[in-house]
Amino acid sequence: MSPIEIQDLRVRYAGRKAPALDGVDLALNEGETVLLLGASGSGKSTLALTLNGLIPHSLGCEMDGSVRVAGMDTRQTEVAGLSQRVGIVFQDPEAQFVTLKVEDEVVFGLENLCVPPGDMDGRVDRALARVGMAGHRHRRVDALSGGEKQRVALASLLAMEPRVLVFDEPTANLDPVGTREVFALISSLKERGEHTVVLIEHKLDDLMHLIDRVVALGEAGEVLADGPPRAVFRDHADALRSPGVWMPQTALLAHRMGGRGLPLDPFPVTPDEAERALRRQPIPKIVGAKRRRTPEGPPGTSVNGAPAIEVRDLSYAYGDDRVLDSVSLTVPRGDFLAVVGANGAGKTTLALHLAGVLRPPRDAVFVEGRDVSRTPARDLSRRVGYVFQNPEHQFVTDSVADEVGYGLRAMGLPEAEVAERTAAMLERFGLSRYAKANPFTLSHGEKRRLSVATMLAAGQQTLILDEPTFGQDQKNAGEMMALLRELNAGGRTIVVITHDMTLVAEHARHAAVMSGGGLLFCGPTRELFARPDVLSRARLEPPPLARLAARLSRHDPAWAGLLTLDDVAEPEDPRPEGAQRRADLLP
Amino acid sequence: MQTFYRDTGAFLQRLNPLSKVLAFFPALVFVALVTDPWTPLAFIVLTAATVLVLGRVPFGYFLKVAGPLLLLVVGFLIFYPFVVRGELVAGSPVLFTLGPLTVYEAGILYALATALRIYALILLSLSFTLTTDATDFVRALVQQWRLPYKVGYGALAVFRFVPMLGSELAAIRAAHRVRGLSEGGGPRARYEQLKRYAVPLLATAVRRAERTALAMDGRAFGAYPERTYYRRLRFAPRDVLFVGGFWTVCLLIVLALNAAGLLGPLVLLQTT
Amino acid sequence: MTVRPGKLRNWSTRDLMVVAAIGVVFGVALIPLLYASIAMRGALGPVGDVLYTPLFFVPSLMVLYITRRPGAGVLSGFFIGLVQVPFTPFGWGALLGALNAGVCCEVPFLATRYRRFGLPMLLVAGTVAVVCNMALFYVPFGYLNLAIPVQLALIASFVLSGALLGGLPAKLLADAVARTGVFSSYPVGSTQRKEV
Repeated sequence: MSPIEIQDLRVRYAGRKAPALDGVDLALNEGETVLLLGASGSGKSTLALTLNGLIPHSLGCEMDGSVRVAGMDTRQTEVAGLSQRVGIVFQDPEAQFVTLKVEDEVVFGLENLCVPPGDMDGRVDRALARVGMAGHRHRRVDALSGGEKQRVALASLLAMEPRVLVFDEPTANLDPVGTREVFALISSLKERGEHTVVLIEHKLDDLMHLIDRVVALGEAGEVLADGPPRAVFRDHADALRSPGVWMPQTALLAHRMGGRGLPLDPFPVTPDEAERALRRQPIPKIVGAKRRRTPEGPPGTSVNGAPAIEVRDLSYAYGDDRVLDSVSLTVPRGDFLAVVGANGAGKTTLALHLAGVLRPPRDAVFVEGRDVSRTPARDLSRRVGYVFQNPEHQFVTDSVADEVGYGLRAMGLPEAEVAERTAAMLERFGLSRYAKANPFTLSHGEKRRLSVATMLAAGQQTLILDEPTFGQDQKNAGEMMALLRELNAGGRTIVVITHDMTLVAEHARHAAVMSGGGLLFCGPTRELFARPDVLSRARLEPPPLARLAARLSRHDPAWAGLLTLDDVAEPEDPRPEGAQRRADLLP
Repeated sequence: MQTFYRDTGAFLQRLNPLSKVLAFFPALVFVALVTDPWTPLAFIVLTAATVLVLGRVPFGYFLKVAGPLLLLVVGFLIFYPFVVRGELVAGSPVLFTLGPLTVYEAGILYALATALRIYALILLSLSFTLTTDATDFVRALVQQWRLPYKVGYGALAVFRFVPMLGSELAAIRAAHRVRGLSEGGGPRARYEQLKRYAVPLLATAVRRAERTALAMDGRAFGAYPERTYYRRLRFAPRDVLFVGGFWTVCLLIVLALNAAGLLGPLVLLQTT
Repeated sequence: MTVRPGKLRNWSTRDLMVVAAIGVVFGVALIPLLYASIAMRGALGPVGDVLYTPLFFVPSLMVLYITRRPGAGVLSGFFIGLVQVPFTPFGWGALLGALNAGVCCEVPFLATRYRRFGLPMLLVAGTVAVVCNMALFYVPFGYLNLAIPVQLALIASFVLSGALLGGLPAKLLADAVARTGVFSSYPVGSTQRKEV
């Protein structure tokens, strides 16, 4: 019997006209590992919640059709029964714990199921051992790293002995170190072969070798494609691309090459397969593409010659914690700088000093030649924009138009000019139709665009962004990066804090690597990826394609130093995806 | 945000949280009703001794927490002597006059008694906070005093929100500073500022609560009207010993004060 | 080894957690006020009481207004108090105080059988809750020992401050949060809700 069988499933949330899921048919096979893909808002998480009956039992939505777990209709089965068959690990490691200690957390589900206390010990031990946390039974949950938290979350499900495990973007809130931990965990589950696994994830290249089947949901909540990874990524690429579904870099590469008359056979979906296929290819043709679109020469200097940002020997301690350790850094005007490093390396602290949110000491941070410690906040806020990781934090008014107009009014501009410039900004950022909406009601991608718009409205020349593509689908992320590229091309200085090494390779001109509060490296992006010592000290990894190229270069030096898709093969449409907007109209 | 709990592994910390409630509660009610300054003073000494000896709370830490709290009650000495009802001070010697206001000795004594009384109440509560793990308190309420477990575990889950609220607020303030907003100003500006902080904080907390609720339901929370407990909290012999002992000491203190003629009339008796 | 059934069967985990989350936000936010309230009672006497007491009633009034469910006020008082147990020196004293505030807030809505939730109702509810609380503490707080004209002025001030510093902010704040869309599945959100 199929562990999960879904027939003609339709789910609609209260207050929404469009259904979140519309006519989904899906039958999972015992023991398979299924990757569930879809653009933001395509209903992936909704589908996950129907698998253990949280929809319709816990979330009030309209649900038609049927979901059967081990033959039982979820509508007719208590959540208690379902929870012993299907467990979900959620995205936010913080929000899924109830208690303060690891042990209490793992017994929580057992207590709810009225398991006799005498039986709990063994189950807790087994569950913790299974996720490699055997020695952590008495630790406090808040002392765990992000990756460890997700492992404990899984252990607390394993204790209930479900046969189906669902992971809903388990690494979205984790740094690269935590992400690797979670992938290793899924890999070990797969090896034991006891569980059917449904995985929602978009960092794909490092886990494609675990995937037996790919199911992609479309924008209207329908199944877009369903099949083995090779078939889905080979045959449905266009259908996946247009709504913005993430695809493995390997598959994108194969399509690029196919488009240039160099089809790879068999179509590769894992780095290993790609390596095998590419070693058979006539190399000179492949590498015939233009090496790089990002200009690498020194960026233009400004009128008075001062760099956009200069940091001189900046240190910062929080209590006894040395968060920044004599950091010195110069960001020329017009640069596109990526700041990378593991969680807690000091990236955000450094960036907050640049925007004057954390007040630097005298003569330590200069923006356009001015000492930040002596520049009034209001003056600084007109020179440097800072987009926080959570855009909601920055909203200070009740409507989208007022958000953009806020900075302009603060400058004392006449109302007519405020209205005109606000309208232009909203048009430019594709937010015109939401002008009157409350900023909180926008979608994630729209909120992010709005916060960028508010940070540019007053004509700021430097823009700092904390994880600008966090939690977004391929399309929104691509549009955001295209927007930043355009702003950069128009002369603005862009500083991006990110964990996404593909983004760094594709867009950043320079990279600054932080580790333990110190600056390990600052230089051209390309040089960074040629320094494995720096990367490993900072616990970073090159993007999937760069790793592939490095492996191939052992056999053919022509591959050495290739980082991105564009390095290998130009797209047929030379404009980057989502870059179809114009760079004009900006103040 | 810091909790006040000191886990020294001493006698008080190993007690069932509820036995501390049982022991302190009668004392709390009694102290709330007395009108003389001596009874609160005696209970202040008793409470401090209990915490320092039976709880082995470091003396320096105790002073650091309990000391500033004393400042909170100093105000009573400033205001109360002036507004006490006429009959209470009638016949008492006049200490001094300040324009139209006359301060009587009885007024000062009354204010002193009020300040000490409030301080004794605070210390009785503090002694619990200093020596009790709040999560154990909630568990005990659920397991032994029939607090519905849904409420108890809901509370445990939101304890974990507290550090998040601190970091959220810091992030919101930083984000507003980047937008050129300054803090302070008149009442109107203060209200606007409060709203700007409160709305995103509440919205974030509510959404996180919904996510947490899903994670709890996903682990069968609330599936049955009952649940089992891996760690059972019970009253042990030491709990009985402590409650009995504390009550006895309290009674002896009251009797001694009464014998010495220091115990004033109780509030309720006084007004009838 | 099982524990007797708890009630609250008709409260979903989600509703319970939302009430708890609002409780924890206010539980923490009110801590400085808790210190201030003691100091002010000393320094300003009953004048201080009039100014801050209604603020302690805002969260429970707000939760009642948002969920419109019997018991929401008491529950929210309980959560507020429980959060204050480990984070304030006042321990379970704070718990009793917050629980009491929750119960007082429940009174006016119970009296109207949870049918009215407009602005006038919130203003009246603020007043009723604060006056209930005042009646409970009239003797222990020593109001009875104050001069008679002071007592009368005090009562009048409580009536006003309950409405203006209790009921009014509760409604305004709840409406402001509702506009962000997070309460779309609660009665208070339905007015803000539009089909999208």
